Amino acid sequence: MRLFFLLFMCAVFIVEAKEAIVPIPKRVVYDKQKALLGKRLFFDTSLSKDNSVGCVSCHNVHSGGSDSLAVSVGFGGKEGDIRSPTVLNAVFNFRQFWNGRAKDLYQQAKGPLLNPVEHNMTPKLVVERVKSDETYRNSFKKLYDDGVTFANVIDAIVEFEKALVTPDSKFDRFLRGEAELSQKERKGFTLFKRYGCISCHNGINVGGNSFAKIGIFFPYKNARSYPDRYAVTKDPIDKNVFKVPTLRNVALRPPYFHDGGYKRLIEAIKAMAHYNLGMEIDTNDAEAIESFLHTLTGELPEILDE
Amino acid sequence: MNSKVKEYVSFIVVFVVGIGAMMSFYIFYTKQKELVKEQKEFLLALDQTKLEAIEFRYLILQNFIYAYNNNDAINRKMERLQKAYDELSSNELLAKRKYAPLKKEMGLLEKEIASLFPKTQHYLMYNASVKNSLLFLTDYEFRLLKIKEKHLLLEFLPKVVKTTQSLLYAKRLDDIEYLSKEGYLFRNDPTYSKELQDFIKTYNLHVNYVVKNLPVLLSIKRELDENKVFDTTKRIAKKFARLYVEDEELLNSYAAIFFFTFVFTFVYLIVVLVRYKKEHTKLVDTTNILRHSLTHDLLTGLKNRVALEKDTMLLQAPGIVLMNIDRFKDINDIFGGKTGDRLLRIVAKLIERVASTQKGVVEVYRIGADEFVVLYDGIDEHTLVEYAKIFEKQINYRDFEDLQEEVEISVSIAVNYKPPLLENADLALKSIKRTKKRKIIVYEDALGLHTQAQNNIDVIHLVKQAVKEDRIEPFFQPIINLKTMQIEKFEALVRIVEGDEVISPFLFLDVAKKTHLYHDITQIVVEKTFKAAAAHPNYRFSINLSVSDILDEELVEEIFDLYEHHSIIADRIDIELLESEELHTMDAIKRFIERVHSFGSLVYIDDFGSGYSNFAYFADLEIDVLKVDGSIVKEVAQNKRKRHMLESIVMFAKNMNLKTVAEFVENEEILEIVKELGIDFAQGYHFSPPTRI
Repeated sequence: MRLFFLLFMCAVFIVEAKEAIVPIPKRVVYDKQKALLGKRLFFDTSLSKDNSVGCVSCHNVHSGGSDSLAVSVGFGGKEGDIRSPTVLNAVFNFRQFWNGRAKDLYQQAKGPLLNPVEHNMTPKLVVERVKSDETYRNSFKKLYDDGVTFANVIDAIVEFEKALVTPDSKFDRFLRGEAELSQKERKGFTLFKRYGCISCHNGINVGGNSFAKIGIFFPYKNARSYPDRYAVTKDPIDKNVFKVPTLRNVALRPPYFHDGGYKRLIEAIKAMAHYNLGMEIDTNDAEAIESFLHTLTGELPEILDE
Repeated sequence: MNSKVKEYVSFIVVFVVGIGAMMSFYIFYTKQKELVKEQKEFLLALDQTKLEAIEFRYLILQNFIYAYNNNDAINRKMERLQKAYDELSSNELLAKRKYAPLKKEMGLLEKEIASLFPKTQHYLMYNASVKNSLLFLTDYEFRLLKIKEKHLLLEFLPKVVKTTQSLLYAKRLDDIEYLSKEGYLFRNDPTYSKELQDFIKTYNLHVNYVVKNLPVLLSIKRELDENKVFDTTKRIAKKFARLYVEDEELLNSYAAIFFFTFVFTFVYLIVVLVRYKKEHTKLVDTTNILRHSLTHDLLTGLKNRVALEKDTMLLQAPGIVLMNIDRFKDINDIFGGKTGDRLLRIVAKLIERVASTQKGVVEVYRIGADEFVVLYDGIDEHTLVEYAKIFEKQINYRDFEDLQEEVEISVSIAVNYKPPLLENADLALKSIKRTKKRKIIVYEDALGLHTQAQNNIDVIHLVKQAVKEDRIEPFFQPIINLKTMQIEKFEALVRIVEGDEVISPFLFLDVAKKTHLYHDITQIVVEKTFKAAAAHPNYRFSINLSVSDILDEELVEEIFDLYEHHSIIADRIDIELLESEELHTMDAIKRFIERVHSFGSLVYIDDFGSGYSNFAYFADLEIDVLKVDGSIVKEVAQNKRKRHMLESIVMFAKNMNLKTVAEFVENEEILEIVKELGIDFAQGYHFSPPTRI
């Protein structure tokens, strides 16, 4: 009797709050003209020094918002130092980059443009390239008082990124009471919560709103060193700490983790359980969770149709 | 500095002060508005910061308690807190030196808020995994029920439950004491079934994790809980309130300056206003007085000539009574101007009083020094003459008790209807003044007064020419000693000779008297008489002088010069003074008589008994000879009263030891009477008219 009472007590301590995941709004606010200008810039390879890459090269907005490489290839075929994160729904992240070194998209967008192994540009060169195009010149003249400037180029790109949201995923529709999850998906969601995935993967982006160490219970076997949170804060606690990535559209963008170490989602789920939850989950549970994660795949942003 | 400059300076000062007051009001108003706005904004931002800090703490707590939670809320809250701080720190008040003491706290606040982010991130990180492990452990307990070694169940289960419970308590109650004492872990044994071994392995892993990381989590949480954002905002609020009150005091002094300058300006304006009102009143009064004086006489308060002319024009049938005080100039000379003025005022009052009893009176005017006019409308001539008579009766020889001196006055009155009213009345008045026979005259064109005025001009021209051409000559009339019936002396009488014609003084002397020519005439007569006396050493000669001659100092000196230069004949030149009321009061006359006597010459009183004969002055004046006026002598034969008069005059003269002369002895009959009366000398046409000798 006493035993059951104790068990009951333990259960009582686990308090459930209201839903920790919220749906993406069906409509987001952005300046459409600027966003369309940004869209053109986003797809324009002339924004890289050798005209070889555009933003879209590593952030395929039509499929998951990133590429399918463990490490992206940029200027002159050089490799980056980390898996390219998705640009889709990036606007909802509380910080940008894996280690959160950019406060917002404005800060973030400059990074790849000026990175020698990515676009390898300078602000001056960006302006020159954009100015050389008459359509750009006219658009900027129309939309910005001061015409083509580096800040305005960034602003237009960011405006486009603001539009890159994927609403109406099955799970969002479920949250809004517009759709039913299958039994498996439902089970997956329950396990997602029960195993504690939701402790980090919550909020509008099902992640992207906190940092976490990869390898809480067992050290994660990094193939090499990556720019982690420690690189930003120099706090030992932050070693191997990265921004918790969003799980939205996760099914669309293997390979997984900062190092692209797992090609299949189910493997990534099992690895996460092992490293960060200190448990080995069986394939049934992992599959259920996987099917839940598939419900997080949303509609492509409207702006891509324009 | 003169008062005008002073006034300007004070105006400028007040102007400047006034502008200053307005400016200080403006400064006060804008500063106050600005200050209040900034203060409100500051306090609002501060409150917002405080509120966000409180809500942040609440969210952390919520995250701590709830199994799973939305981290977005915490991130958003931190952003809001940062935004509230940015708003607060950008408040313009903080840029002021006055609020510099807040800088330290603001810096602290900024640092506190900045430190929240990494702490929160660590907290979330640890909280997530600790929470997950606890969640896992509570779930994991049930796995124990599935192991094959059922005999170990009783040994394991309570420890597992108790451990889980104490770990939960430690976290929930935020107290690591629950962790410390007991050994939580199970030793794994190769003899155990695989399930049990797995259980122990995983169980130990998580318990170990929690035991190791819960203290870290709790200490991070404590750090977060103890964040100073809330306290710092409270401290800032307190400090700010103090500084703000001081700032307001500065404003209050502004307000005080403004208030006092305002009051000063206001009071000054009132003072200026009052002063100007006063001066304006004065000005108005002065203007009124001036306007009044234009038409009014200041001395008597009566209207003046200007007013008379104006008023007359408005009337249908105007008539005037013009009154002139006789010999007013003499009264002024005798009693002094003050008495004269007082007299004029009394007469003015008297005329007004009398006029108030009469009909048709429009107004009483004083039109000259001694001239008054009463203006009537629609009154007939007869009534007007009656009114004039009333005036004469009321004024003439009245005893003016108010005056200290005993002054008797008389007025001559002219009544006139014929325009020009005043001029005609004046002419008429002058005509009776000359004759002295009447006191009231009504102007008539028939009086020929205008002709007379023209005559006067002609006469003056005549005399002027005569003087210029030396045609003024004394004729001499012999004076007979009635005892010896011999000629003893001659009286010099002035004539103007024009060819064969000899012009009598009756025709020119009165007119000449009003001009400087009179002086010349007298001088010529005196000079020529001296010549005659020199030529006829056996006779005495007498010259007629009037009071006005004697008052003419220049003439008097010239006369005595002659006396002195002709000392041999000087004692034979006598002076005849015209009988006059003016005689007895004048020291000048007395002195003159003394000087005449000093040369052994005699002084006559001429025309005695013609006018206001007064025996009194014989007491004062050393008169030697009394010449009886011709008007008495002429009629002694026919008029008994005149004979009695003559008798008493002679008796008086004898008693006074005066010699007597009768003039106008025109026939034997008169001669016999004067002889009989014992008169000493006689002259007249019975003996000889005045002739050249």
